[in-house]
Amino acid sequence: MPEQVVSIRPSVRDNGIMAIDDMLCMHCGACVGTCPTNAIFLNEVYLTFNEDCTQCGMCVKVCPVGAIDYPRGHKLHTMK
Amino acid sequence: MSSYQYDVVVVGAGPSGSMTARYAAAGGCKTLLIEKRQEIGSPVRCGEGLARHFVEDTKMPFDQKWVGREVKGAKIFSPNGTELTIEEAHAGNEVGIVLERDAFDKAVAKEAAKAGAEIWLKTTATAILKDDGWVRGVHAKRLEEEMNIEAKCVVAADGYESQVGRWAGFKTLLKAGDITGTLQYRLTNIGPGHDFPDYCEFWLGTIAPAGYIWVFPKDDMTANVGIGISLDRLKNRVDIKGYLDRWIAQDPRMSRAQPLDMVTGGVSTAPPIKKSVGNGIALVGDSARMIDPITGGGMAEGSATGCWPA
Repeated sequence: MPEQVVSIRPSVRDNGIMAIDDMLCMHCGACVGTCPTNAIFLNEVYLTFNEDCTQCGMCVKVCPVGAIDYPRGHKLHTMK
Repeated sequence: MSSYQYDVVVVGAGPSGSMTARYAAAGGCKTLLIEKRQEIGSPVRCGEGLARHFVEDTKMPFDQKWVGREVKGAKIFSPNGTELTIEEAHAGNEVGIVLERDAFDKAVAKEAAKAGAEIWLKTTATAILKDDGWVRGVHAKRLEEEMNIEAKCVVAADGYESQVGRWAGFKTLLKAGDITGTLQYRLTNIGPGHDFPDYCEFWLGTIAPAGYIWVFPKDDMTANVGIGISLDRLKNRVDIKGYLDRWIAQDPRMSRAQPLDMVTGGVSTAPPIKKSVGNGIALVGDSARMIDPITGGGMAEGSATGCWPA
């Protein structure tokens, strides 16, 4: 059986506000239109959260591919 | 910083934006259509079903290029397995076309260009210009160039995630129950059954809480298979994908099906905002929560005339 080498997710950016997996993100904008505080910024390359975010979690649930999660250490963080 | 003057600037070159630009230009306005992406119509973010009468209403010249498949009608499946077929004769002009959206969006933009509108790609609106309670234009970035585009009327056609409307002060925020998260695969190698591929299918029930699963055929063995679920029924991350994958796994037709592409998006199921026109600005299409995937010519003409009082 081949040995598993890497177990981290290098595609995840976690700024302490929210965590985004760039490999999963489809840049569809579902989270942007859902955000009640306009804290999500999306250009064609990446998604960012700013300090207006209240961690309400609507974007976490609406993201069809699960590319958004609560930051590491948050009790609702589920990314492995 | 450079500055440009137009009568109408339309933000977003989807069908609504392009249609608005087309009618504005045809009405004699100096019109600019800006699109942040490098290609109009791509990537597709749509189930691609369209009622035939939209084509006639908007006076789009019919072109086989953007027709994926014409279907005989719709089939609606209730949770207990009852199958309701709505044939063309009864469904009237609601019987649909399954589009090739990338080609369709380009075709509408082509009409806008033909009417005299200018189109800039890779141009992102980053702010709106306001003066004296009026929207006077947009601040935009095209590649490296920052610019002010002054316009008598700004049309926000920037879709579900509309920022322009929010900047202008429109209340476009949504409640969780008015938001639907969607995921779609284009599946190929689908087997026969339920008269596939002659009907657009809608599957209801707990398989998609407060939403439905759609199967829109693209050719003999390929279909857009997607799901929409209301946000207030979702509990965890990646719930949407789980629901769709489970449904596909239990449908015998899909047992050997393979995906060709994957599309995601957010959809508003709220009623259209009450007032979609403000001082020097108009919202069209998804940004105004007009949730038919294609905005009709009526809306486009409405916003074109909206530039005259300005």
